[in-house]
Amino acid sequence: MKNKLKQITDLTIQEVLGNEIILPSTYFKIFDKNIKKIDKNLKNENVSIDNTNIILEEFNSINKYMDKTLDNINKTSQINNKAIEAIKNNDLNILNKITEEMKELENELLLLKDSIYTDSFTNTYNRKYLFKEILNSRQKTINEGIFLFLEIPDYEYLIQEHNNIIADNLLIFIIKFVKDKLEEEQIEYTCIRYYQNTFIITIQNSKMLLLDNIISNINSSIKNSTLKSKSGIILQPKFKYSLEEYKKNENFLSIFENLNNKL
Amino acid sequence: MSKAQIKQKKIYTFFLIDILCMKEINASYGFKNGDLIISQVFKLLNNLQTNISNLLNSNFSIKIKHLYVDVFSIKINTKLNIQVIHKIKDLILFSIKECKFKIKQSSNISIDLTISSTCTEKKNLRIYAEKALNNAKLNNNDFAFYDSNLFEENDNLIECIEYNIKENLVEAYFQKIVSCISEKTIKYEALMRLKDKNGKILFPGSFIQKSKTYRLYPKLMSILIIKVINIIKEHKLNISINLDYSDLINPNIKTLLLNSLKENDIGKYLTIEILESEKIKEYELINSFIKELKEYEVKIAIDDFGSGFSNYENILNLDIDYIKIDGSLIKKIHIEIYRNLIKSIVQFCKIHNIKVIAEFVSDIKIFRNVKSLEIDYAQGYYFNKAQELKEILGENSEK
Repeated sequence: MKNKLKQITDLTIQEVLGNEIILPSTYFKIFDKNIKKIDKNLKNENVSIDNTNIILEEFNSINKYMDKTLDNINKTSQINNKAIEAIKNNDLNILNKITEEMKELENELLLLKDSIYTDSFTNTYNRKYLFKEILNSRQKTINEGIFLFLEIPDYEYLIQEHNNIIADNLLIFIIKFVKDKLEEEQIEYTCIRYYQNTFIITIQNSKMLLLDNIISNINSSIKNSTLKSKSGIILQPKFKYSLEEYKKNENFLSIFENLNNKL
Repeated sequence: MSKAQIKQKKIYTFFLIDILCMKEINASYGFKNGDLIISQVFKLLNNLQTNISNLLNSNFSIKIKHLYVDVFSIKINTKLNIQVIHKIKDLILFSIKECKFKIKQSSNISIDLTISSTCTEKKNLRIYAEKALNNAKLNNNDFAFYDSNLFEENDNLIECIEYNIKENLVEAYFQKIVSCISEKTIKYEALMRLKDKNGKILFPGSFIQKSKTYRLYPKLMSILIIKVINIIKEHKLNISINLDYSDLINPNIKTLLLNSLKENDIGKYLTIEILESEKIKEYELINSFIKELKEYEVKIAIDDFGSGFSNYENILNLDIDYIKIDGSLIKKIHIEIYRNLIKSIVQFCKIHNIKVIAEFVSDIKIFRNVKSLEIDYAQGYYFNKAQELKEILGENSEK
């Protein structure tokens, strides 16, 4: 029990350490959340996943997504019934519990939303995310920022001349490299796989000149590395990029045209 | 040049075949036996010509040459696809492995090969095949293929490095090193930056490797050292400079540093950070250089400690003042296993009176963890990104 409590304390401390000010209530809330998390982890510790089988993983994730959706529909209906009952009886205790359950449900729905928007292959967002979260229904930008358009030019050539596995691995390597470097530079970004070998990265907290400098350096660094396939093919990873600043409510198609022209 | 244009030019397929450990064979059996083996390999390759032709299913010209010492080449005047290239490679490797090579004093021995291949136009055949061969040998692989369509020579970068050397443009940017107790800056690490013709700043990750390959790095380093020495002279700032093993054994850099220290009374402001690396072989040599530097009150730090297979014994044999814990460990300080590893480094340093610096302190969370382990100093984006001298001086004058 002592070890378990120590584990929960460590988790809680690590989570709150990033806050400038830590109020006792914040600490209690996170501590409570971690108790539940650790319990859940203990229950799941015997479940093993075969990481080598991508298709099976994909199938499982779809199954999980279906189960979760059904589960959430059931939960919503139960909460709704409870709420009606509690309001009738003016029961504050039950209403407080319902608020907590609603919070949990909200978190689960957010997780589900993430899985709908994810390109699991490159671990980035997919195009749905761009059109639902970055653009409004008229394909205009919701916020201001910078679009970084990135193309991996050798992708198609590799599929044609060598094979898909090498092409896919190159894609995964480059995107991971770019994401890691952006994180190192503390750039806040959202990476979206736009089409096969093209990606759109939205950036909020940076200036054009600085960003251009950083991306140009990332491209030079990645060009200096060499990748090698199991069959002995040596590759030089590289990408082409363009940048375009955008304001709120700008037409995406014209921004995209500019990005394409600059590439 | 577009890929379509490249494809229009006459493309050849080229193989380089290199006898593995030829020097060892020469040393063990003598040069006469070595030459005998080389002639047998050449004969065997010529005998394979018909088999290669059969694999091609066509009458393309195949030229086999003994190129130099223990390296042979096969040039085929067409672009082969990767599957056929693999078949030819396998045919050669199999034939060599099957063959027993006669030597004079005993019956026979077996040998191994490294093979590289490329498909490109005539003028680049040797260059690309040599690059692939070098890569295969460095990684202990028996084969590597260099697809010229997938490579882009970064000539602009070399031009840019040469331009920076010629115009003396190499600049030092400065990152703060902060006391974990007072949170005040105690010194700055000088980091090398170059400028391209469009005014873009180049970070080390994009040019260091190339500058080393093209043997231009010592020139860049010399300019940086001179600039840092001048900054110390003028502004009396505590500054540390990174030197790697190649700098430490470079007589020009050594002389430049020692002469600068002799001529200017700046040693007490300077820290030399030595990159901890498995490449360091001659600890005696480094120690004697450290002794010379210490005569001028220069402080010594070991950089990136914990990144490779850190050898505490080697470190103990060096007279050092600081250990900088590698950023890859600091980033994971919240994970128990890494936290314990860092704790053990800190304890080791405390016993041996060595101050500890944590790199890559990028946020308050990492900083709090660093402080909780009683690490002496911290450095990273939480305090500042590397800045130009004028920004540093501006901040200091505001205080």
